[in-house]
Formats: sequence, structure tokens, C-alpha cells
Amino acid sequence: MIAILISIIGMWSPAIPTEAERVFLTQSGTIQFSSEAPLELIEADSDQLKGAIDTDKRTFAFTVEMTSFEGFNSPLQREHFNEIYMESTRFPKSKFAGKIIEEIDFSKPGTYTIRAKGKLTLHGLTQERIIRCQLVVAESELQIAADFSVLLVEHDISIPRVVHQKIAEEIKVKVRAVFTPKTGS
Amino acid sequence: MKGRLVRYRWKAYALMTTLYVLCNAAGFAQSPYFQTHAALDGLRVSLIFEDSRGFVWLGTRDGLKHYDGNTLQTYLMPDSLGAVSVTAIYEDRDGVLWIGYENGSIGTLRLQEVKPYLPEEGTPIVRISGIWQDPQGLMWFATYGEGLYFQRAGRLYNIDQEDGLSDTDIYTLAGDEKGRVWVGTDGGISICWLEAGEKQVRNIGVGEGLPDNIVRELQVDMAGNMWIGMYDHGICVYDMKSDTFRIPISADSWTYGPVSTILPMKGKAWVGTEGGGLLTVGEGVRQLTGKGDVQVAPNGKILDLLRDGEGNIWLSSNTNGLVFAQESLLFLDQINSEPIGNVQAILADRQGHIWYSTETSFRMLNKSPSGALQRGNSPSLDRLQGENIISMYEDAAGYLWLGTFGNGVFRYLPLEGTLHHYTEAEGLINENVLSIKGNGPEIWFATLGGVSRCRLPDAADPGGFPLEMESFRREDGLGINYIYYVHTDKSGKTWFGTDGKGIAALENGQFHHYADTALFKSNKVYSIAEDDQGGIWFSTADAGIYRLLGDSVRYLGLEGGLSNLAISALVNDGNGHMMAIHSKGFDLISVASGLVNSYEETAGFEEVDAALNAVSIDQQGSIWMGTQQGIVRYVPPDLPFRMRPATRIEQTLMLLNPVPLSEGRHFAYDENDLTFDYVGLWYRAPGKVHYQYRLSGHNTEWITSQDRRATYPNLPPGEYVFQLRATANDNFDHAPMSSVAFHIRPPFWQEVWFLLAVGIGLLLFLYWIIRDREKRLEKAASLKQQMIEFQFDTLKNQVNPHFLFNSFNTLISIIEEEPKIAVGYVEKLADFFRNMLEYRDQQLISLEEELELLNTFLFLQKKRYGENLQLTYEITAAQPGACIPPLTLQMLIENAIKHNVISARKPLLIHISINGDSTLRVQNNLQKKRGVVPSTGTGLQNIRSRFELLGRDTMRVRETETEFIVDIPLLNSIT
Repeated sequence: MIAILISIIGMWSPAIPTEAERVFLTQSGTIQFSSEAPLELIEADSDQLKGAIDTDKRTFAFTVEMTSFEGFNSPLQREHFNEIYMESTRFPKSKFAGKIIEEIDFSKPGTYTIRAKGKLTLHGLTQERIIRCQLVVAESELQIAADFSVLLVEHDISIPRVVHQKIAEEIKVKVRAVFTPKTGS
Repeated sequence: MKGRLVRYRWKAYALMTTLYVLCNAAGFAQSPYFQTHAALDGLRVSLIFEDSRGFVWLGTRDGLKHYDGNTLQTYLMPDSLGAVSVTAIYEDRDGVLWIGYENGSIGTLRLQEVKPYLPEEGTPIVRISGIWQDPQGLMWFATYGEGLYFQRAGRLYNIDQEDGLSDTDIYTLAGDEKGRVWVGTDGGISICWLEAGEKQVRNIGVGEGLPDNIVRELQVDMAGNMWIGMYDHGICVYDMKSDTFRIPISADSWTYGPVSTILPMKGKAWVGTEGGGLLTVGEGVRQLTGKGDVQVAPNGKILDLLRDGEGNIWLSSNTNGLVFAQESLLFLDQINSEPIGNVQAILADRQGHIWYSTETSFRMLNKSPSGALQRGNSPSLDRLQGENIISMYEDAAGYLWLGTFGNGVFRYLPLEGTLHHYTEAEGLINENVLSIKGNGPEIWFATLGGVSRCRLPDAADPGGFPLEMESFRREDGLGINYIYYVHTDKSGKTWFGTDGKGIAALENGQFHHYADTALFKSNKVYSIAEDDQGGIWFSTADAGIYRLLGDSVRYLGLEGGLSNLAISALVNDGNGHMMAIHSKGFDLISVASGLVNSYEETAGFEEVDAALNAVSIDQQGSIWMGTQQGIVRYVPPDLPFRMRPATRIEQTLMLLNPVPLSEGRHFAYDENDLTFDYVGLWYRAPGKVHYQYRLSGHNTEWITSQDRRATYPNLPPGEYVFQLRATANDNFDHAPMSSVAFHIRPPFWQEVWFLLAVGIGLLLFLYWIIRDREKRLEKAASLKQQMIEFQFDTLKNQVNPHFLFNSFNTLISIIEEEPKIAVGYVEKLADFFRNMLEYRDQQLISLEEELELLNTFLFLQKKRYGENLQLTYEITAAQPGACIPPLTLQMLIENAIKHNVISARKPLLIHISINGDSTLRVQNNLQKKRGVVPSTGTGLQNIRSRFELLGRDTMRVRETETEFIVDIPLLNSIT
């Protein structure tokens, strides 16, 4: 089921009509991370977060290309990010896919706090996570806002001792996305 | 589910939590003392389990580990790549340990070996998160990803979302008293059971009043209620009787992160969290960090908790590894940043306040809503500072009586601040007041100048002042003026502990002294207490404890298990024990059994050196002790606990190889080098355990040792019982024994059965020899008989008239024409008869001789039949020693001549050949005479019998359409 969602994100294929009513998609969610180390603050973001939510089955999937992150304090830093830390050629994508714990009524507009439980794959390593997020159910769209953190050690991202003071061990991540129903064509 | 939801939201908790965190920052808390053992250093343990024998098992990423207080032993599944990380441990009712693994494997531990559990359906491929056996004996397995399994009649069945399970990711499993399985998932709680063999599932979620859908931990408490630990919203309790939730901890105020483990106690629980360390949850939530070196990080992740049979609480965390503490002891060494030390007197009053004094200060502690202690204040408290208070008592009206060293007694009503002062001017006999006790309106003061007594005039107005004092001195019958302690017993007697005159009792105005120097080792009495049977216990300055009951006196010293002879205070713990406080800690003495448990440095005590009688018992039964290092609180445990080491014989080695030693095992005479490995389980202080063992049947004396191994080489045959007992102090009396009986058999040649068998064997052999001899004689006789018959037959044949008639006719026909030949013929005939006479007595003759005989016979016959009788030989490879019964061939040829037509048209062809090495074949073409010669078969039968009697292969006779074949075995030698 989650695999299906991932494939939907990937292919953006013509939809099966019945799915249109319950699957919400985004192609341009924003994801931002910040590393607040004693000596340096690094921030980068991507607006190419792709995601899908199946409101019937209460499942979801997100994915983002690691090379789509921009910002950083210098182009060199971005290069290091992709080549040394994230190894973006080996592990081009990060993913988070799973299920929504709370049984909320997606047909009722309002703001909900939900917990998303799933597998977070980053740098090729998968960890099970429960991530709390704000969900706004609006007229024909869903808005998602989630703030969480990632421990580098949990994903086997090692930092050379030299730059220890410049990169935080806990990276803060901010996700904002607006989902629209999947259209029939 | 139609559960009623009762939600107690105590807003105060939010405030309390804040307050608490602040206070904690200031660094005070009542803390348990955590310790660890060197063997456990660096061990990361995710599961702690105690089996029914008292052994502790640890689930780790590197397999299952067994810990006996001294050594760790790892148990791995055989040949199991992946089945290493242990995620569930359970002991079924047969004592078999079940182990669940991260990769879904399940194992059972039998006879020191983990064996894979391999149901036909296969094991899960995801983490086993719980194992349970229901009252019917069915095994249940919870998984993280595949839902719930149960095993029935050898088959594994699954319960998942299709059956109504709230989610297949199961975090935790618990069985309730009704035999139902509770599982905690991301969708709340699912209760599963079987009804008439059908799967039943009932779900409890947010809709039913559960505060949080993610249920991480379920534990049943002693009352049968279910404690529920959640991801975000802390703890709640499901009351089984009323089917309602109790939510003592408001969801809003829980700041400790997901609950990882719960250890329910009476009315409270120890709770481990993933982000808030260790908590006790009861009337409030308190964070426990720990006294001394081992501090549980307040933001640490707790992995598991266990209470063992000794009353230790085991704790595993990501920051401290595996540590444990006495569940009953809490230490308080500072309050509001002020260190507590040199406590001289302590009192727990009926309002729940704790009063304590040092030489210069007098403090009051009260409880915050969370149950944590904090500094309190009360009116006029300031005025009592610096008073050097050394004794305290609370009377029936709630007044505190405070005895000072040198300044008489204060009577203080804390709520109002009313304060009265009694000195020698008010009639007190002496102003150094060491002990105060009361009995209703009567208050007693023990001083360094005798004792005083006052009577409260009026219960309605107890606050009257002054009070009339009555005093007793040495000359009034007290015997000495230095009185350390006064105690009023339930029967109305008042007891006094004196400095050198023993213990004295005042009854009906008469003093009675118990100061027999022959009876008591010391007459300096520091403390007196009364047990529930009315026994009076008193402690002496340096010679231990005595108990008086009627006329009987019982003494308790070092050999009785006491760890220290200088007891400064005695108190009845209200739980069947007497507590004796000394300079290193305290001893807990069971009144009924006399067993002694010591709580010293391994329990967390540093410098006790308690002042005399700095002890008090509160309304809840907790005992508060004042020490040099602060205040120690002893909470009598809810559950029974073991007071001495439990002995276990771990394994038996025979010639240093492990042998399973079930009760009454038999060993062979040469399996007589036995070693016993044993342990006394005493996790609190394994180093204090020592053992006594003996091998009854071998030696009768107990051998005292600190080793955990006893070896007996070269045991003679016999019946033995290995007996073991252990203690953590000097007292082995009443120590429960572990024993194992076994038997070493004598060597087989000394066993009765062997001698019997040998006797019978000899008899049988003798019988056989006799029988054999008889048989051989019989056979020989029979052979002889046969021979005689044969000879008779042969003779009868040879001299039968036909043969003679034929021979003579032949002779007549040639006698005239060829007289020379006739002479030869007669010579042959004579040869023939001579040979026959010569051979007939022999059993065997050589084949050559037989053939020679046959030639003579043939010569005679040929003369008659001419070329119509033809005999051919094919005896090329005749063995040199080949033998044959005499006249066998002649008889066969004769038989052939007798039964067949012999004419020119139909010649009789007889062929004699050797077939292989061992048979001689005589064959002739078959052309039977019809009806002329009646065949009696006696000739053949005769030959056959002879062979049989000789015990050789039998002769074989075959008759085909055209041929008659006889095979006779060739015999090897003449026997």
C-alpha cells in the first residue's frame, strides 16, 4: 500500500478514477533543515518535496531528492553536503512513509494534531519514527506542517572531528506542504 | 466497549511538576541507592527477567544471559544467524524459558540449551514483542508487524486486523486474570481471547476514554488492574472491576516522554520513560535519580525494570547499564540545598510531617503534592532553633514533646505555635532528657537524673500549664539515675533502660530489675521495643540484643546473624520484624524465624553512627532514621521478600564433564569423581554469601566455604546426598537446604546379579556339556546301528542269489572257452568279496579305494552286460583327502543296474564326475524297467542316513525325464 503511494509519487501516472477521491498529492512541498552548531548555523531547503496521503487507508509517503537542497553558507558547503555527508549519488533520495495514528475525519475541515508513524530512510539507513504534525483540512486541500529532528548518528552520518564545532549532531527539520486531490487526468 | 470514563484531572500536577523540576534543580530528592556489580559493567540490557528459581536472566543484543550474582553466562540459539537480539523472555508453568528474538525466531531453553521453536507454520519474521501462557496452557506470541499468534494443538494461529486487531505493530503484551491477552498497539489496546475456539477481539481506544492511542506498555498490578503506559500521555490505570480508566496523571502535564516500562507496586508504580528517566507514580509523579555514584539521568531512557524476590529493584537504562537498588530504602541527604547531617532526633507526626533536630537546628519537612519532601514552616519554629533537641514524642492531643540536652522539655503545638517549657523549676527531675514516651495522658521522661512522669489533667484541655511532675530516682527503686530509655508497653508496664543496672520495669508502683550479670552480657541498655507477641526487646551498648517474654530470655548476637553488637535503637517495623540500628546501617530481624537481614554499605549506608533512638515510624508504616549523613526512610515492602540467600545447585560435573543430575541418579563404580557447582543467590551482596556443605554418606560434618564448588574424588560405592546451605551472615540455623541424592553402584563383578548370572551360566554350561556328550553317544550308537544295517544290506545284496547266479552263469560260459580269463574272473570275484569284508567296518574310505572297489565290481558286471553297460569317469581334480562312505558308489551303480533296462539298443550309460571340489555326481540315463523290480528305495535311504549320521551335507537325488542324478558330498577326511 505504501509502495503504491511511493510509485504514485514517482510516476505521476494517469489516475484510476476512484483513487482521486481519497489520494492527495503534492509535488512542491518545502522541506528545510538547520544545523545549529556552536560555531556555525547552516540552513538549506528544498521545494521539491513530493508526497501523497491516502485519507482512506490513513497512509502517507514523502520523498525528496537530496540534490534539490539549496541554501547553505557556500557552494562548497553544498558540495560537501552532497558528496561527503549525504553521499547523494549512492543515496539520492530520502523517504518517509507509513501510517497516520490518529483516526481523524478528513472530510471535516479543521486543524488537527496527528502523529505519523513510519520508516524514515536517510543516507540509506532506515529508522522507525513517530513524527507529530499539524494537519489542516481545508476545502479541497490538506496542509501539513511538521517540525522534528534527526540524529545524525541514527543514520550513520559521521562528521569529521575537525568540523565538529560547525555541524550539530541533531538536525532540525521543518516540513510544510499543501496537498491537493489527485485529479482524474 | 461501554466503559464509563472517570477522569481525575488534578490541575495541581502541572504546578507540582514545575515545582518539582525546580526543586530537583536545587538538588534534593528522596533517592534510592543504585549499585551495580563488576560483572555487569558495560552491559547493555533490554530485558530483565527473574525465573521461578530466583535466577536473573538478561535479554541483550548479544543473546540471552544468565546472571547468578557472580558470573554471566550467555545462551545462544544454535546455528542461528540473526536470532541473537533478545526481545522477549517468558517462563511457562512447566518452568521452560521461552525467548523471543528481534528477527521473529522463538526459542525454548531446556537442559541448558536454547532450542529453536519450529512450528509447521513457520515463525514470524518480525520482532517478538511479548510471550504469555494463558490459564488453558496456550502460548501467545505478540509480534511487531504481524499481530498476535497463539499456539493450539501444535499449530500456530494468527490474529490480525482482519480479526479486528487494532494494529499489527504490537508493542507490549499482558495477560489478565480472566485469561485474556491485552496487547498495546498504535490503535490503542486490543483484548483478545478464545471463546468456544473462536477468536474474540475487543478494542479500547481514544473513543473509549484511553488518553492516547499509542500504548507502549501494559502491566497488571497486584489488585488485577491494568497499568497502561502511553507514548505521549503518560500513565493511566484500567480498573477491571468497574471497567473504567483512572487517569491520575493529567495528559497535559506529562513531560517525561514515552513510557517504556512499568513496575506496579501497591498503590504506586515505578515507571521507566524514554525521555524523563525513572519515576514513581502514585499520589503524584516523582523523578528518582539516585544517591551516590550511580545517578539515573533525568532525561535518560529506561529500558526495563524488575523487582526480584529479595526486594531489589533492577533497572536497565541507556546511560547506566544494569543497576539495582533496595526497593525499601530511600535516602535524603539534603533539602532545599541544605545538607542534612548529624541528626540527633527524628519524629514523624500524625499529620505526615517529619521533624528532625541537630545540635543546633530543629526542622520540619512536609510533602509536596507529588509526595516529594520539602522544607516546611510552622509558627514559633524559630524559637526552637539552637535548643539541642535530643528526644521527641507526639502525644495524643497532637502536642510535640521535645527533650533537650541541658534545657528541659518543650511542649509545642505546631499548628498554633503554642510553646511551654518545663525545667527543674517546673518539677522535672533533670534537664537532660534522653527519651520521652507516653501512654494516654501519662508522659514519661528519662533523664540523666532519674525519671519524671506527668499526667495530662484533662483530655478536653490538654494544654494546661504547669503540670504536676512525679519523679523516681535511684533511691526510689530505680537503682541508678542515668536512664537512657523509657518505654510503656501494651500491658501497662513501664520499662527503663539504665546505664549499668540493666532493664527495669515499673508495675503497680514496684520496680523490678532484670540485671543478672550471669544472664546478660551487658547491663547498659540503650533502647527498648515491643514485638507483636508482647515480647520486650532491649539492646545493650555493646553486647547485642535480648528478648524477654514471660520468663524466657532470648539472646541475639553475632552468631545469631546480627552484624553489629552496638545497637543504638530498636523499633518494631509493624511487619513482623524488629529493626536494630547500628553504626553501619541496620539489621532487620524476623520476630518469628529469627532470621537477620543486614542493610549496610551495599544497601547505600555510609556513615550512620545514629544518635540513640533517632528513629520514628509514620502513619503509613515507613520508618525514618536520622543518621550522620542524612535521613533514611525504610518502607516495608508490599510483597514478601527473601531474607537469606537461596541456594541452587547449578551443575554437577563427573570427571569435570557436566552431567545432568536428577534426583536419585545412579553412577557406575568408576564414575566416582564428582564436583558440584552451586550458588547462593544474594544479588544485594553476593560477596557476603558463604556456604556450608556436606555429603551425607561420606562425611557428617558441615564444611564451611566461600567457594562455589565442592569436589569429591574417588567416592566408594554407596548412597549419597549432597547438601548445601548458605547465609549472608554468621547464622546457618534454619537455613533452607538444597540437596541432591545419588548412588554410586559397586563394580559389576561385585553385584549380586552378576554373581547369580555367573552361577547360572556355569550350571548351563555344565548341562550343555552333559547333553552334548549324550547326544554324541546317541549319534554314535545310531551310526553303528546304521552301519550294521548297511553292511547287512550290502551283504544281502552281494550274496543275493541273482548276483551269485549271474556271476556263476558268466563264469560257466567262459570257463570252457577261456579258462585263463575264467581264473581271472574268479580272482576278481574273490577280490570283490574280500574288499567288501575289509571295508564294511570302516565309516569312510578314500575315494580312490572306493573307485578301485567299483572297478572290480564293474569288471564282474561287464562280463555280463558287455558294451551295454558303459561307465565313464570324469574325476580329474579329485582331492587327495576326499573320502566317501564305503560301497556308496557300488550301491548307486547297483541301483542303476537294478532299475534300468540294459540292452544293445538301450545301453545304460553311467557317468561319474566331480562337481566342483566337494560333490561327486553319479548320473545315468533313465530307462526304467516296467513293473519288474519293485522299488523300495531302501538303498538310497540307506546312503542318505549314513551321510546324515556323519553330520555332513545330505545327498541330493534328482530325477528328470531322461536322467537320474545323484549328488553325494565328498568328505574331507577320515574322522
